[in-house]
Amino acid sequence: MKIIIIGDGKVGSTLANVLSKEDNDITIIDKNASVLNQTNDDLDVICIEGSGLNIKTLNEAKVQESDLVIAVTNQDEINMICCLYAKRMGAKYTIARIRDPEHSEEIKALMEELELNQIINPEYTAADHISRLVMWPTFSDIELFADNKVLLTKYRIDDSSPFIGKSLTDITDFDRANILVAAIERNYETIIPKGDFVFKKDDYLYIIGEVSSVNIFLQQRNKHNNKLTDVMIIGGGRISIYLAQILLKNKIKVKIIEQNPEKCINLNMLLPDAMIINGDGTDYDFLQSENMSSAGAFIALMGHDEANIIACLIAKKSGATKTIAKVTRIKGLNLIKDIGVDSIISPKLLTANHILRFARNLKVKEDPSINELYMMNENKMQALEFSVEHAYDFLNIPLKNLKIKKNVLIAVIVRNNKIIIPRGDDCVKLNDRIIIITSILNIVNLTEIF
Amino acid sequence: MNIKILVKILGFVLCFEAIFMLPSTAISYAAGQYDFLSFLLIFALMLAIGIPCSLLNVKRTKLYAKDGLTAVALSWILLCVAGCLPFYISGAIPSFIDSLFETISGFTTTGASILNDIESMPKGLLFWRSTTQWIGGMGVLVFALAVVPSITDSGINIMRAESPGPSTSKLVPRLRKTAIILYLIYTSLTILEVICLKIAGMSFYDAFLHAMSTAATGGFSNQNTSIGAYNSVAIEIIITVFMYLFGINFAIYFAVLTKNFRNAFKSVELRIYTAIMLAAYILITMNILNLYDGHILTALRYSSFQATSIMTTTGFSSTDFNIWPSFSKSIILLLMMIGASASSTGGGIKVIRIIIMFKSLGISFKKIFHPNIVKTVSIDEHAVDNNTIFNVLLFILLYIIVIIIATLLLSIENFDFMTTFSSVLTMIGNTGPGLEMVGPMSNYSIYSAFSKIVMSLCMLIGRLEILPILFLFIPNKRSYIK
Repeated sequence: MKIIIIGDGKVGSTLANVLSKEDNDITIIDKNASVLNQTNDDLDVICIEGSGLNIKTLNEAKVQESDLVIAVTNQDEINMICCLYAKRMGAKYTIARIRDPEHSEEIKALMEELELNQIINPEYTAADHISRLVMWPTFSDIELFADNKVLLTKYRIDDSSPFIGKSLTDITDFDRANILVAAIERNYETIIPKGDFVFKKDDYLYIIGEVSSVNIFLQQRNKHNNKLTDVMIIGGGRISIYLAQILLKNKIKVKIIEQNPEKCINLNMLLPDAMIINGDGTDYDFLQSENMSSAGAFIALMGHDEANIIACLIAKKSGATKTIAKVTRIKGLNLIKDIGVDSIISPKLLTANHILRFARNLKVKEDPSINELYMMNENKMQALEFSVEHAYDFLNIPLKNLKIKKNVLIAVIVRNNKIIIPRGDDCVKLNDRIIIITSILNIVNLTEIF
Repeated sequence: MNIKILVKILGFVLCFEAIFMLPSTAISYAAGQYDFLSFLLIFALMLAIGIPCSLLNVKRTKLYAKDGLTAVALSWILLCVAGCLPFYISGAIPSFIDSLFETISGFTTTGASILNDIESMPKGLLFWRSTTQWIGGMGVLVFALAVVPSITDSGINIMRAESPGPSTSKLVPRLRKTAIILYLIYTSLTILEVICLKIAGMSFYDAFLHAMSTAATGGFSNQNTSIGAYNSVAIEIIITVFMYLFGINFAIYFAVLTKNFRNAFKSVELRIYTAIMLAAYILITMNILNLYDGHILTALRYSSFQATSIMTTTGFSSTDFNIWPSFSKSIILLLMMIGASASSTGGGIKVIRIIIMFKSLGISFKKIFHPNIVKTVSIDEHAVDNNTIFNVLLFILLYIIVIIIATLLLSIENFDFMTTFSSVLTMIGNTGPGLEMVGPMSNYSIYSAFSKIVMSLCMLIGRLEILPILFLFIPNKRSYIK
């Protein structure tokens, strides 16, 4: 596919990176030559210096021949106009990042007027993601599949775990709970485990299964499993506003700490039900006086990664049960988890997932069968949900008789709302939904896994 | 430095070289001459070393800018050392240094020879000599990127180091497709020239040989007196046109192919390149008119062929320009320095660098009168950033420094100054013939082994545009910053 990305910022370059690895022809437009030089060195893409609002630049990028135009500059209005121009010039699909809460009311109207195919709002996506983490406090990483019935999450093996030193076949707990260990993350590598895989301390298990089964499994192994009633949010940016709105709707108490007094007033107007406190979110004594250790979850959403990580570490040391930090610079996410932050949120990675799903579906437009896509462990693995809508020739054959590619695992079959963790004798049938875990990154069609 | 990936790249280079050697081997077999066995031996040897190396399993495929430079420099040196073996082992050129000089002259598309009697060489070896030029013209690593893009994630760093010009840009988003397009244009133009030359009366063998030399702007011929041996106006015109075509930036062909004519013909580099060449035709024609008894057309025939040949750094000759007046010789030296366009197969400083240099000089002068003037150098309506300008000026400075040092080293031979100086210019510009004792009708066998090594280095420095070779001589690349 020919894809044009306008805006070579954090989201733009992440998208370019992932999309170019999937065999798309990427053109990036940005005004800043030095950023483009860096991108040109790192990725196999073509870079054009100029403004996305300039018809000449768009012509140079051959917008008229493009399949997809993604506008992710830092200004909503520019993104909208870029997409409008692109559409008029003949681009097939357009996606614009529109993130100002002011526009959120008129999103539907905007999409129609500007003929946008998709709007992305990274802050809202991030807030949505965090709210799930808060509402299911035992999980550190959550992705839902099959209309929120199947859950993929991460589980860390700590010192006291009974699994250490045992192999996968020795442990019956998973079978009994009807869940599957889909992948293991060890030393930043992700492996699809075989029966003889032996667990070690600090392995992260990706477990997948029905929401309730996974929940019960984790609750049995976790000390703190009460439903959260209150959270503390540090930083009063866009994500915080969206997040507070979602949480308040779900009857969870919200305390927001923001350093800028004017912003605090603004927050108070927007979120009358939340408690807004003016102060420094990295000040230990101040946080203590605000009782951070008793908060159900401690969420750091300030502008600086470092500040967020420090704040979470402080909270963790003083006894907070669950800490979540926003980290924008993607590299080294795993390192941060090692030092004790429970969950990491990366808005740009979430956004990239979102757009990637859209782009993948465009590729198989005649057969848009990918329902969900989730990138695991810094884009090294993916979980994909497919609907089986055609009479493929692999249907109704027991899985043990099929030759499935290496590094592909059929993790879950959903049939008539029933969740099946498949064994060798199970088979895929028409109208099933299946979830596969794979390290082959450009699968767009079910036939590609055989 | 990632040693493993370097070995893998070098392995691929050997394999490709072996494949390119096949046609020469076949010709040698058909001609039944004594060089066949040595071809076969070296072919087997290259594959025996190349295949295991290229199959190496490399996990980390990232190459940084300086690694790219090293990879390119080492690849080229390996290419030349392996490529010279057929000459040496078959005994056609008894001295190893001479064989190496001849091969480096081939791969760098210089076309300078140490052979006194070219016509007595076996047919296969002569064909191999021209093949080396064809490979060197577009670059073997660009070829590797087209065929096996999976070697490295950072192909752009390799392409930058190998293809000439101040800023290498891709034609299409994918590096691999860019490399394929470049080779397609290159191959089709070469085949077109073969057909034209065949129609003009050359044999197929001669046509192929000369087409490959022209395409690379190399200049190896299988005749002792180069193109002059055919004494045919048609052949001279065909070769002149194709030399001109191969001296044009290949991005322009791509623009024409994608029907972007406006951009193609507006290119300032194309215009200046053509203008300099036409000016040289006129000046030389007027200057040499007396030599040809006032026949304007005869004078134009020789002046246009020689001027095109020198400016595109090909180095064919249809007449002995050593007997021309000094003014014409000076123009020839000047053309040698300017060279062809960026991203073409030609050498020299490159027209675009000259344009950028003069434009930034102009702005510097304006700044003397209007100290606060704000003006940027722009090429084809795109601003050239200061970093590029700096690199262009640095390149020209380095070019001059290399010329000075090489001239000093060659003058140990105690030949006259014109011979020494023109040898250096022609080597670093990848042109071929020089003036006086190394003129178009003579060769470089007069030089000692030491001088030949100096000249070989000059050729490599000229073809790879200084930095890759220079980096090999900086002892510890990791710590050179301090």
